[in-house]
Amino acid sequence: MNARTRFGKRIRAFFRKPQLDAEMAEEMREHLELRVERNLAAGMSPPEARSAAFRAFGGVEQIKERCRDQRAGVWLDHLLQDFRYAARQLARSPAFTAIAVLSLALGIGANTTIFSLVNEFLLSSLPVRHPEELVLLRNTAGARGGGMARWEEGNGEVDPATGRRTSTSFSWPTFEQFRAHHPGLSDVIAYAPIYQLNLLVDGQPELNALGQFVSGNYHTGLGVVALLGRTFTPADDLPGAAPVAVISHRCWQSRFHGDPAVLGRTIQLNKVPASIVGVTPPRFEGAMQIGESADVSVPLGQVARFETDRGADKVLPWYWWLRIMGRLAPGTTATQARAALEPVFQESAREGWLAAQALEKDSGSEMPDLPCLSADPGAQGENDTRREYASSLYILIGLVSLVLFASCANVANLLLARGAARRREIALRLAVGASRGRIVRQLLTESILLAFLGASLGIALAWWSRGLLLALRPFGGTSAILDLPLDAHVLGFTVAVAISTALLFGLAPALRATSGNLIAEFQGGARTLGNVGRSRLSQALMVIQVALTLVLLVTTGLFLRTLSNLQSVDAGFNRNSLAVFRLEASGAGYTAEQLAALNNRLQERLGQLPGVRGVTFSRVALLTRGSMTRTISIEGYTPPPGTAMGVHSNVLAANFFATMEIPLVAGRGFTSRDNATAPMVAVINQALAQQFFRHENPLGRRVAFGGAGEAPQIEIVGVARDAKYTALRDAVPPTIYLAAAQNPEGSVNFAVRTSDSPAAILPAIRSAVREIDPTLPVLGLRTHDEQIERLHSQETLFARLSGLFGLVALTLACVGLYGLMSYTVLRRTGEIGLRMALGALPLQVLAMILRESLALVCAGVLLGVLAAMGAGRLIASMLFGLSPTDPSTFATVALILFAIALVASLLPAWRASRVDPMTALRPD
Amino acid sequence: MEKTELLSGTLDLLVLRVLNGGPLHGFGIAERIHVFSRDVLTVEEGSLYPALYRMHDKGWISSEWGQSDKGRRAKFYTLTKEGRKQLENERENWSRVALAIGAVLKNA
Repeated sequence: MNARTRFGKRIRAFFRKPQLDAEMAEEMREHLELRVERNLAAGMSPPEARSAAFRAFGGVEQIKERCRDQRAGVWLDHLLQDFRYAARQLARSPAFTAIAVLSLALGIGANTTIFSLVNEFLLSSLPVRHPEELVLLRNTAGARGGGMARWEEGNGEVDPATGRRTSTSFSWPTFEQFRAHHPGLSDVIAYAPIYQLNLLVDGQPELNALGQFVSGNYHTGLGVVALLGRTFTPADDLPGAAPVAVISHRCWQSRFHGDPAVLGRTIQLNKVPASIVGVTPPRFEGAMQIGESADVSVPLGQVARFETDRGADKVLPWYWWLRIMGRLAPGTTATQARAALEPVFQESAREGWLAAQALEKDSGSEMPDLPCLSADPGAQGENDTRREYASSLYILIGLVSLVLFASCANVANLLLARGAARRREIALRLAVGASRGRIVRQLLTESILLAFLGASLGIALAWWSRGLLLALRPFGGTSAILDLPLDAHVLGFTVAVAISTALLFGLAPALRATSGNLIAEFQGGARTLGNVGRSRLSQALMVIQVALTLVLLVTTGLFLRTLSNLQSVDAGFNRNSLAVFRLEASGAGYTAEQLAALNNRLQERLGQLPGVRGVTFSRVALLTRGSMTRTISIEGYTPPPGTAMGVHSNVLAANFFATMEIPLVAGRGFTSRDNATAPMVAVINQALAQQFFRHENPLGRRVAFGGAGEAPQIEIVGVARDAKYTALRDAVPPTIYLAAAQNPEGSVNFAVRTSDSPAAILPAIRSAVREIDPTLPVLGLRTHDEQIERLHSQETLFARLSGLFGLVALTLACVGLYGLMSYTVLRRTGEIGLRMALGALPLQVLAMILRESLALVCAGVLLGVLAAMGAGRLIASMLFGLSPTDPSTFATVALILFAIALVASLLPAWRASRVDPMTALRPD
Repeated sequence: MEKTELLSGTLDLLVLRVLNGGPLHGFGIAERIHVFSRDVLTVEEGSLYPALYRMHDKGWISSEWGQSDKGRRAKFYTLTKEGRKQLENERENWSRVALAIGAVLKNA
């Protein structure tokens, strides 16, 4: 018989138990009857025949029991018995059960929530066919000479290990060559985000839409089948094809309310009408960074039509912007595919570099070393964001593990106390013949039941808290579109956590409860003097709880002080009463000349709003982690060999310094006379002046962008005071400012200075922009304070979570300490009575108990301080303005712990001091 | 009548062999073993029924309720295909053991 039918038989047997029992009784009755008849036939008298038959048969009930043990499903029977018994035991003490379950629910729920985040960020794969076969191509610059692209868009970074630049961006011709010939790969696809996107649905601008260009074989290559309509075909990719679009399930739901009639509808993408031909299935958001959901995809071949300004350049060999993914052919490894494609890529890169050289005035440069190609695992798509947040996730895992350990220690302590109270019952069961293993199993069943109750509540907690977690935007703006499914992985994790916590908190108390001298339980009660083993273990658990609480609270303190330090840091400009927003006008079809006029009109119109004191704009918004860097050369300045001349830059409206209240320390700011026809001017900040001019006067010196071959023609006319650029925690970088009138930009960030609360004016700003151009989306409209909050969302998240977890741990520790001290006093009533009879004063008894309690807390604090000092290194890089071993934070937390411990043990100590020696010493 | 203890592990073999002749109820099995052994072996009910339930669980025998010779309801056990295989195994095993014991008794 195979295992499956056997198992089926067991299950059936289990549910047919009453019937099977009846049949067994009947079978044995029948047997006895036959024996009696046989005996009668042999000539016995009826009573004799009957008793002989019973004698021969033996104990009917014992035989039945032995038969049942042979029967299928008996283990299930025992298990159910254990669970029923456990449930009865738990129901008998509802207060204990409630506290234990709640405590476990907090621990397990917190872990489930964070694991759902880890699952989504680090473990999940793209919902496509065989994601493990996908590779994402990446290039790494050669050892000498840097990159070969003239222009690059995408996620480039310098590998800290080698110092070489790597990126996932490739040129159009490179992709064309891969697509024509791809040894080792069964498919090669390409895509790229549309950075300047203006999406109109029914003439209304979409605010948070993200778009991408995809190659015609993108969907078939990934194995994504349309939910509705069709996906792209290579025919859509041809330049002359009618413009079509595929939208994501999310976009279909949110923007078109899941209307099936969406097919054939026309949307405007950068003012070009495109007809919707398909909807992709749910959960498929493209292969971009996590959190970047491609709402709308258009064919790559039509890039020139959708991007009138840069589209023509994007097909050139020096413009690197396409992400390329491949699917490994059966039996090919990523290494083989990489080796086959690399020469093609290198040749294409070389052609690109030569083409770029032909455009430069100074074409004498030496060609850099050829870049290398690698084929990274592509199951998660682009994973820079995932990797970037991994370390934050590890910190979160650390925090929730601490909570889980604290709640385990708490429940273990509760179980110890309970085990002590049940010693008599357990002794009795052992005495009547139950084996120790059987009782340990029984007690563990109780723990597992507790853990599963806790886990169920924890899952409910996680379900509810996921939304709260995402509302904190732990990972920037992108978290808004994440959803964290509680899928099989997450639930499996929760079950595993529940079982391991049950063993963690249940095993020691169960072993303790069934060991020792049980006979003593039946002899004159439990008046033992001094400490017994049970309290030694309890004390150790208490020390651990205090230590964990301290680590959590210290973490909270460090992040709170970091936030307050960041809040009070001098930004170099006035951060109060500002509203900000962003416009992507070139996507909406504005030319360079129209842009300047648009910005002027907006400035004028917004300036008329009541309560507005000033309106300005810049290319890059301050304190958003955004930045623009350029290489400059300075007239008369020879950089020391090997130094980079990279500086930060920004393009500003003429009134930017005045509106942002950044004072000029020398020279002048921009004026309306610094226009497109006037000589080019620049303002530098103090950091740049300090780095390149030292004691010289920078005013009147000329600079140029680009390499040394450029003729310097931009004159420095002023020096502005240092102001924070990328983030409050970053040092002020050397920065050069240019005038917007001389450097028109397609994308600008407005800042509106108000006389009172900037939040109140946001709706007026939105409608003012709409008046000027209803197709222009007002992006990221918010107060500057909110901008800063977003900047520090991770620090805030860590402060709040560790604070919340710290409070939970503190409460548990408090309850635990109170319980432990109460129990100690109860257990030592006789001893205390004796002491008092011998002359101890109530105050001395009070002090004795408090001393014991504080000794425990002291040990916990010491252990916690050591642990927190070790753990502090892990978060050192996230702190600002203080060290991870900041003495005042540690001291404050320790003091809080002592104070609370004192309060928690005051009542038991007071009770001890009120012990009446007469009552205490009277025998039971 | 002298009672002889069954050698441990032989009960299964005997039950399977007896059932090879056709379906029987528990009492019948005990009877048959007693008779075939020329009244030497007596099967204890306390061992027989647990053994039957165990073999049933292993799938060597199946059971069904039917009429006994006297027209009463009784539970009949039948050898299954697995049971027949098991019987062959145990029979071979037994012959080997019996031969071996015989050899020891003769030569030692």
